[in-house]
Amino acid sequence: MRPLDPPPPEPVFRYRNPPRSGNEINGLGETAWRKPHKVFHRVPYGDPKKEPFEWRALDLHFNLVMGAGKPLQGFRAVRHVLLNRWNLRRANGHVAKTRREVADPAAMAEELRAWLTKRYPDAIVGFAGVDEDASYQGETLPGKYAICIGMPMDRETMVAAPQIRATVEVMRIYRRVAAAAVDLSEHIRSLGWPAKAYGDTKSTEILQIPLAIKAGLGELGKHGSMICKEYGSNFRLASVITEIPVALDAPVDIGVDDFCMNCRRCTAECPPDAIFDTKQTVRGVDKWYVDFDKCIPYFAENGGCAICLEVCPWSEPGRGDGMSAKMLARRARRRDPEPVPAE
Amino acid sequence: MSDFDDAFHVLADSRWRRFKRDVKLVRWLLLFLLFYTIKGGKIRRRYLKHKAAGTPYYVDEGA
Repeated sequence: MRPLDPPPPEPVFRYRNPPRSGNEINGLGETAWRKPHKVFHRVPYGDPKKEPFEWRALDLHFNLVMGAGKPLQGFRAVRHVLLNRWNLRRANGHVAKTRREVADPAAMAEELRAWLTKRYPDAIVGFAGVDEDASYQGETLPGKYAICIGMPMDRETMVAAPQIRATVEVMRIYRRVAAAAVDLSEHIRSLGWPAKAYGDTKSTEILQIPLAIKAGLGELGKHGSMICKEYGSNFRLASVITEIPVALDAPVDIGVDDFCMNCRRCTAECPPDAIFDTKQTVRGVDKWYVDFDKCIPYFAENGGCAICLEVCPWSEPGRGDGMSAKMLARRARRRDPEPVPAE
Repeated sequence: MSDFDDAFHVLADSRWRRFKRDVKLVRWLLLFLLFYTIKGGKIRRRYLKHKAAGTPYYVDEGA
C-alpha cells in the first residue's frame, strides 16, 4: 500500500530553543554498550522535577494535539488511553498464598500460552529471560521471565495512517493487548507467583521490542520496529514480567534482515525522511535505527504516524510465511550454491 | 517502582484499599479529561491557526 495523502514533511511544531539531539541521548554513534535513557515520552504521574526529559514540551503537545480539527475522533483515542490506564491498575496485585509448584517449565509455558490464546485467539505469545536490555537506565524489572504478547491492528483502518482514525485503532489495540497482559498477570498471581503486566501506550517502563525479539516473536526491521511472520509490523506489544518458571523461546531468523538490506519501501515513503538506509551503531550495537530528531516532531504533530509500519511489505496480510521461506531459501542457495553439472 | 505503582497498585488482599485506589484513579482520569479539554482545546486551536497560516508553532513557548 501507499500512504493516503500524508501530511507535509515539514512539521508546524518546532522548538525555539531546540533540546539536545534525541539521537545523542539515544546513543547514536556510541561504541560502548549501555542501557538506554528515556527520551521523549513522559512517565504518567511522574514528578516533573525528577524527570529530566528534554523533549517533554513536544510530548505534552503529542498528548493534546490528538484530534485537532476532528474532536470526536480525538476523544475516541483519548478514551482508549484512559480506559487502558484504568485497566492497568490491576497490572500488579495480591499474590495467592498457595503456590502451585512448577516441575516442568516447558509444560507451564505451553499452559500459559494456551490459556491466553484461548481468550485472545489472535495473540502471539513468546517467553524470554529478562536482562539489562529490557529496562531503562536506573530501573530494574521485578522478575526473571518476560511473557511477550503481540496483537494485530485492523489493517484496513491502519492503511489510513497517520490520519486520526489510525491513531484511534493504535490506541484500541494497545488497550486490548494490555488487557490480555493484565488478565494473564492476574492468572499467574492466582497460581501463587508474582507477575506484573506492562501495557502502557507509551512504553515508559519497559523496552518491549528487545524483549519480544528475544522471545522469538520476530526480528527488528529497517523502520526500527519489529516484524513478525504473522502480522508483519501491523501489531502492538505488551508484556508480563514474572517469576513463574517457564521454558524460554529462542530468537527467530525469518529473513527480515536480508529483506530489509535490499528493500527501500519505508525509507522512500517516510515523509520526514527519518529512516536510515544502513544499520547504525547505537550504544555499542549495529542495528536498524530511525533518526529521532526527524521522526518525532512529525510523529508528535500527527498524534502518531505508523506509515513505515503499514507500507512494509511484510504487513500485507498472509505474505509473511511466503516471504520468510523465500528469503531463507535464497540465503541457503547463496551459502551452498548448487554444483554445476559436469559436461 | 514507578509512581503509578506506588499510587495505584494494591499489593495487599484488601477490598477497602482497592476501593480507595479506584476512587483516586477515577479522580485522576477525570482531571486528565478536563486538562485535555481545556488546555488541549487551546493547543489544538492554536495549532490549527498556525497550520492554516503556514507559520511555525513553537512548542517550548507559551504552551
